[in-house]
Amino acid sequence: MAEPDSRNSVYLFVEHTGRVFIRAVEEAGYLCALLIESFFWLICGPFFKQPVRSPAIFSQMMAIGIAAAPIVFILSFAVGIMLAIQIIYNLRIFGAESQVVGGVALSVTREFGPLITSILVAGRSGSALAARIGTMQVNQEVDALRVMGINPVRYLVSPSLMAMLIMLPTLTFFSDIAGILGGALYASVEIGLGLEAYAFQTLEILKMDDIYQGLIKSVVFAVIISLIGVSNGFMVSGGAEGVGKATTRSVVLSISYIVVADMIFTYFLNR
Amino acid sequence: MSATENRNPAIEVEDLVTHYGKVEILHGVNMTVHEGEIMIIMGGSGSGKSTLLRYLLGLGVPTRGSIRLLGKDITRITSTEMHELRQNMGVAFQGGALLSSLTVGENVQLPLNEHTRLDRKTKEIMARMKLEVVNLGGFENLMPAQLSGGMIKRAAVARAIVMDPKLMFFDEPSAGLDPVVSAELDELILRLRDALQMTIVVVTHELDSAFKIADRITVLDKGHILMTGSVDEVRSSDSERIQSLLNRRPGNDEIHADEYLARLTGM
Repeated sequence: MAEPDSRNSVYLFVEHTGRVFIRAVEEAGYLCALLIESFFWLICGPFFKQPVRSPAIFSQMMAIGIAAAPIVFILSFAVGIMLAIQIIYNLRIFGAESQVVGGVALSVTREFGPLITSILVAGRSGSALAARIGTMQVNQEVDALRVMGINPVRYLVSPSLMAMLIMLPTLTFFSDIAGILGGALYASVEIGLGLEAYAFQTLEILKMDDIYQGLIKSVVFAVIISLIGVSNGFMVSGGAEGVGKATTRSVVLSISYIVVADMIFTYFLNR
Repeated sequence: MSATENRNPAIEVEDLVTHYGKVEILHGVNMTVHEGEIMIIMGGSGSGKSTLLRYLLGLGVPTRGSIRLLGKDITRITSTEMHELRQNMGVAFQGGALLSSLTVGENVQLPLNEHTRLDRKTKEIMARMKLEVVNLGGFENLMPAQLSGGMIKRAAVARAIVMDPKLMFFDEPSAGLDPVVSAELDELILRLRDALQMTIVVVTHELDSAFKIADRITVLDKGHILMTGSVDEVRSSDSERIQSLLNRRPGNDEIHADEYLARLTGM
């Protein structure tokens, strides 16, 4: 059989595509293994006398959730106002400005709340996870944990994953409230709809399913952010430059996966 | 024959072959370290000594061969057995590898938190005792970033010995330290052997330090063991490569011209 000509562009393209595909499959497998191992330690750790420490989970909850609450509130509030502006502008054509309540409530709880919160947490905590674990990898701290008999997944990944699984839905719910509040304030100024009436109408329109839809999405996004962050951290090589690359890659990948996953969810949950 | 050679072996490496990618790094290494012995692994850069240490620590799976630590072959034992064995191993990494998010005291207490059910006060006292052993008493509340290079290495030793391990490994303990701090670390290593009867493996290329603390020395070169012997045996070796290493002369490896040209041009 003739050797493929290494200068042939088709051959190079196929080779490159093959390599990218194999790498993607490898990474997907690694992420699955990481997820399974993290849950294994969370559930079975105590039976092996290696529990996931609750102080580590609380510390991560503070960093991921409590510290992010002010910025989540500000952004969601702003998104709520923007939504109200756009919806009122469009509904004015039909003279139905008062329908803004439903538009804002459904858009925020089903779509914008989980999306904005997840993108913010990916940029803030996902990158921090990648940078922290990457730096530990470079400084041999991960090796030191292994040698001390401390499983790095149990010590570093499981607490972050647990904290993210608790705090991202909590932040999403908080973001829903902030977004609706932003919409309500704008509507009260623009169309004179009182806050009490706005709140009453919102509660009437919103069903539990609408809120659950956003919260379910946020659970999936929490897994995505944690796993992408820690996996990029563990794969760091090449010193400070490697840490920088891993951090950037983790943010870009997390946000991309979140948006794609959101689209898929929205499609299936609204059929 | 050194006095320690009559003792039981604490570490036995047999026919160890390892790869990095497709490149073979260690080519059938054999080594025995006896209980209570300080074994120095010496060699130039790229000789494979750090790789050998990584495999001794169970941080890699070898292509072939066996590594027995305290009688257990770490290439074949279960993860639970390895977990138990690790409680008898201490390591002082080259850069210390202290967890930067924890204080010095918390770093030293970390193995106690993970492997014992001692109460907080007892763990604090034990950590303080080990910090006293390495002359770092009173530094437990500082963060690693607030310590000098020598202090970080000593704090790493305190963390490594907090569980009173039987095996202790040092990776380049003198690297980047001034002669006084380096000599202090050498004294500390000797104290650990004499006072706590630890079996100690030190990877280094610092000759003065190696000759001062070694019971025996293993000289590695390009993934092969050139010789293992006492300080005097190594010093008087008639191997040209060992003498080059001892006298800090560059090696004069012969390279075939065509092979060299092919390597440069990639053809």
